[in-house]
Amino acid sequence: MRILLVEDAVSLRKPVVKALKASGYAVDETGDGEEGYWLASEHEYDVILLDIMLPHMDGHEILKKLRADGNETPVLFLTAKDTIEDRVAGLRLGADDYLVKSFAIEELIARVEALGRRRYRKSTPVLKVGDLELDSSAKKVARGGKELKLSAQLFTLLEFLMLCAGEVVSRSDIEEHIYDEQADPMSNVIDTAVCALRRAIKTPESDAPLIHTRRGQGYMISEPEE
Amino acid sequence: MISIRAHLLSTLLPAFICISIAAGFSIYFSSKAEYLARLDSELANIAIDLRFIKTDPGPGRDPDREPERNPERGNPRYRNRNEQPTRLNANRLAGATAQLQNTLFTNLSAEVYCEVWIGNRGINLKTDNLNGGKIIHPVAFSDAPFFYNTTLDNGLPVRAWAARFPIMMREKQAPKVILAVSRAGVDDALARLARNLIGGGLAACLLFSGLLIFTLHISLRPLKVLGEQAATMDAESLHERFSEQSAPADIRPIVERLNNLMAKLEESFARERRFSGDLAHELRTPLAAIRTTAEVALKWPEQSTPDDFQEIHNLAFGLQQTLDSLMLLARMESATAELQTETVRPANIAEECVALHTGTAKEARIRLQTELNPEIEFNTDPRLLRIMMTNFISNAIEYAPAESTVNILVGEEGSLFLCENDAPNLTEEDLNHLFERMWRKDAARTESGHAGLGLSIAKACADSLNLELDASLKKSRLRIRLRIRNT
Repeated sequence: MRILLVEDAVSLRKPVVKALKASGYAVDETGDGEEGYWLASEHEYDVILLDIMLPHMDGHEILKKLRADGNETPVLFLTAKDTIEDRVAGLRLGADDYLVKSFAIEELIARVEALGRRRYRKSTPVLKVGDLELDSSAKKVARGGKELKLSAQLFTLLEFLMLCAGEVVSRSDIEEHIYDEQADPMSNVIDTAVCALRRAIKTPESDAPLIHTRRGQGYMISEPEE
Repeated sequence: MISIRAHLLSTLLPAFICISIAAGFSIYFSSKAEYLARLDSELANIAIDLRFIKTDPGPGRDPDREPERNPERGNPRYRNRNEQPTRLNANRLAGATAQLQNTLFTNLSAEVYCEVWIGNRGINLKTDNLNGGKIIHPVAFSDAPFFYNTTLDNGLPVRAWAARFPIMMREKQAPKVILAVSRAGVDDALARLARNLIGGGLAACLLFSGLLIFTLHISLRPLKVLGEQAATMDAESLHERFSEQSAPADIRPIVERLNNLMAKLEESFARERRFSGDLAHELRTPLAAIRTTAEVALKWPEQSTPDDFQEIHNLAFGLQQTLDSLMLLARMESATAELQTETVRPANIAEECVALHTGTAKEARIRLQTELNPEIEFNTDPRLLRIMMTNFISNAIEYAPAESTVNILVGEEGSLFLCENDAPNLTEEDLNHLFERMWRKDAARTESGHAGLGLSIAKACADSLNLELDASLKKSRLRIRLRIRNT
């Protein structure tokens, strides 16, 4: 999943980005309100983390504009303002969650996961396709009851495919959701990654292909085809 | 404390009842007096009529003839020109009495009761309607008429007139006459009047009570509305105002004052809310950064670097500075700081402060230009003066654009200290907030070395030292001036 973090305090932004990246998310970051709005408008993020007090355009204004543009990306306000009025004002503007500084990084990641699931209309962190299971909270993958070891990038790719299970996902969708701005994914990088993922989820007991290629369209994960 | 409505009701209603009762009594007794006066007048007229009745002086006597004086006794006598006077015997007396009675009472109305005593002749005459009964006498008879109320033997209430009355001029002593007329009509009229007064009074009281309650309800409605609106006011509704247009002229000054108060409260609440929000930001953001950096280092040790520890150190140091500033401000504002005054030369302290900031100014490419008059000295606390000057200079270096000049003057225009720097983004409106706690021009409060407490601390120090501190803006140059307060 791809996250946008708009926070002007560099001292806080840096460790949060580190934590999110370590959890397998692609993260774009900025400390400027106007740039944050531009990024949110230009890219399809799964979750936006937004500070309220920002230079040039505050968090409320960014959210108001995004909602007015029809952008429904889940937004989590990350702010020092803790009064009921501030929380109510933020939620009424269309924010999906509100987290007051200081916070436990685990809690922030859990909330980001929950918002990501909500975006794909999944209520549980455990995703299943055939005998393949992915627990996005525990960051574990198992096939036929046997735990698999996946790199952070492959885990993110599999999670994205499983969130869109049964739907064809284009290469550009994968680029948009898996890689952040700093990465420069080439088309063959996606293919290579999908190929690596296919190998990684194959076990001697369960080798039925779950990831299917739709020529000219992209990839789809689903039950083994007859 | 009882309500105005209850107070007015409990005062006006009994007052009205008392006035009504007094008026009722007044009407009743004046009417009674008038009725009795009419009866008295009637009795007096009857008495006049009676006085002028011609009585028969007795057999052989000419009533038209002038009484002749007895030269020996000097008493008037009626005498027939042809007859000699003789004593009346008993029969003649009875006859004379009957004749006199007939003469006297013939013309009297049937409603008039009369009794006459001719003392020296032992004659007692009564009208027939007394039926042999008598009219109660007054205590004494005199020539002047005496009016009184009494009751006849048959229980009829009457108004009586009594006097000595010269009906027959030949009598040695004027007869006692009592005239009476029935009072029953008057008593009935008075009873009717009393009933009407009581009934009317009660109705008037009820009507007045209703009218009073209604009038008070209408008149006090604006006060009630004002009270109800005031009762619903809380911190969330400070933007609301009481309507001055609909308020009666009597309470309009109160409404105006309340609205002024609300405006001040709103401003004060907004300032406090801004302060608490800014304070939360200044404290929570570095705290969150420290916590997150530490948690990331613990959870993903491979991600942590020595820079993270340096960052934590810097953040903790910044937090410490903010807390120290807050503590200092709290001490200054609560006037608990003990002043240690002595004679100081502000030029010396300014020189020290400038020397401390030379490095910072150089880094920021700011020129510090000083003009310090060493002659000026005054009695003050050098610690607080140093805090103020340090804040002014560091503030000027922080916010002045690069390649600009900061002027620091002592003794200029009668000031103790004057600091001038370029402030291209500052507006006249900003000057109103310049000395507020935590105020920063940058509403986003982007990380910097300043929490927005420096100038508010300086203001609190100036107040403690009874010095005057003001800020002005001229041609985009901010001028902060400290001087001795004019008393």
